[in-house]
Amino acid sequence: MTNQNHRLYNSDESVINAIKYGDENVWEYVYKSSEHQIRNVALRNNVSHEAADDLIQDTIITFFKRVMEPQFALSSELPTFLVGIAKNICRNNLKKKRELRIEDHTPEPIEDNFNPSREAHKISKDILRKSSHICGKILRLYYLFKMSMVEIAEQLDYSNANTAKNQKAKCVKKIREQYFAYAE
Amino acid sequence: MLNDEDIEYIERYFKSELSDKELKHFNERVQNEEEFSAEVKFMKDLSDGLMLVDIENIKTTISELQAKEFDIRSKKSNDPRKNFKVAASVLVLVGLAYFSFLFTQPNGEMKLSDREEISNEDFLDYYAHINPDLKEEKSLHFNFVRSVENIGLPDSEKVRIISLEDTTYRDSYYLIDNTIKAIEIGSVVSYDFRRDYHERDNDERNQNKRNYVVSQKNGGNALVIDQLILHESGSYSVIVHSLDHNLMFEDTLWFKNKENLDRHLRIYWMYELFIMTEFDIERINLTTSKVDSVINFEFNIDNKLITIPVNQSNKIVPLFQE
Repeated sequence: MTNQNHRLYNSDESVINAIKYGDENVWEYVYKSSEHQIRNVALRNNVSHEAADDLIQDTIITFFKRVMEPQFALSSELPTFLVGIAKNICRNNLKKKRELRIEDHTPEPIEDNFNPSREAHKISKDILRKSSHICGKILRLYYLFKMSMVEIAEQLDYSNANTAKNQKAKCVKKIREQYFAYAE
Repeated sequence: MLNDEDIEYIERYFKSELSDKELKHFNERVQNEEEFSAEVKFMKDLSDGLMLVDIENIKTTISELQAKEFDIRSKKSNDPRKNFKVAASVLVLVGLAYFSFLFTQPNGEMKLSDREEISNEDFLDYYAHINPDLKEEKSLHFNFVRSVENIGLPDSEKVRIISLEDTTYRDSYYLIDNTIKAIEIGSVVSYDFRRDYHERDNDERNQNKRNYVVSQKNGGNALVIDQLILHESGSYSVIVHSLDHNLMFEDTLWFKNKENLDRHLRIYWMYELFIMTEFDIERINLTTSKVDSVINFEFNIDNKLITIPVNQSNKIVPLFQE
């Protein structure tokens, strides 16, 4: 990705929007904006260089999950926010390693309840990859980011919310057929 | 056979839009209707499947970037000419930093490029006499020198910053070009810095009627300083904390004595400023126990009581006396 692409993200809000609308270049920007700082966190927590790579990846994925929360809003600048997540991951890992039950005054971090089933993996690996690009986009905005049909219609240039709704229903129907065929 | 209304009903469930009554009804249907239950599972799997696609894409992108960086690093470390160039650049930067300490001038200018970014594991042999009394070392070795854009300083401090990371203590030192200050991560906060927080947030505190709370907004960040404690030994400690959803920290910053705060070369505590975030506190109670000399700070945040015990020896001096 060129620097010109990076200039498209002139604010943290534009980065969040790019994530929501599936801009493929945005993750490179997110990575580069905070990589050094997360490596600093890793260094201070005696995390090896290789493990620091994993820390960066886990941090960015956690960030992505946060962005999907309906009420999500960046409460600090993006790199600061990411470093906070990285620190939290380090702290949790450290706690797990030590297996110490110390009195903790911090609130429990948000639990990662993401535990996809075999069928979800099937949807991800086979069914969605075969479905049309537009289906992927519309379903992503609807199911992951909980956008309304009006917002989706605006974003994807549909004439109105009903058209978008019909398109979504068609996509779901196709996927449903393949899903239940697989399940049987 | 499920109809469109049923589908919409399930979708509303996943959007957490059902009322208590509807939720109860929903759960009954999941228990009793096989087809309904299967559709709920389908939608959950569809949503998870979509998320998996995104997560896989993120992982692939990051892995490719990391592999690319690894290649670049390998090539660089095998090129002696580049090593020499980078080492020379580092020496220049470190030298500038060194002279900034020797000839401290509050309004002086330090010529650093806007954005120098040099990192190389081969710098272990190079060192600088950066504020050696920090750790009673004559010198520290640095393996990482770079400029950073924002480490949470107040907006008024239009500065460029370079960071040096030493290999002995694995600490970072931040040098600010126009104020010529050293920041040692994990050390103490400067008097000026705290005062800045104090002044900026006094008004905000009054508006929000928050007792003993200072928060300083800085590009969306906020730090809360709860108490300044003067100890029997003459040292000061400041208790700060910040939190945001799943991010939270609290820490005590120590000053050896008042003179320490006014030192020509000030040391700044910055570590946690990386994760300063905005939050609200409803109430703070201060309770003391004579038995074990522990102060408990009780914070009522979002209706949850959080108690932070702090060891102390003598006097409590609230930052803001009502």
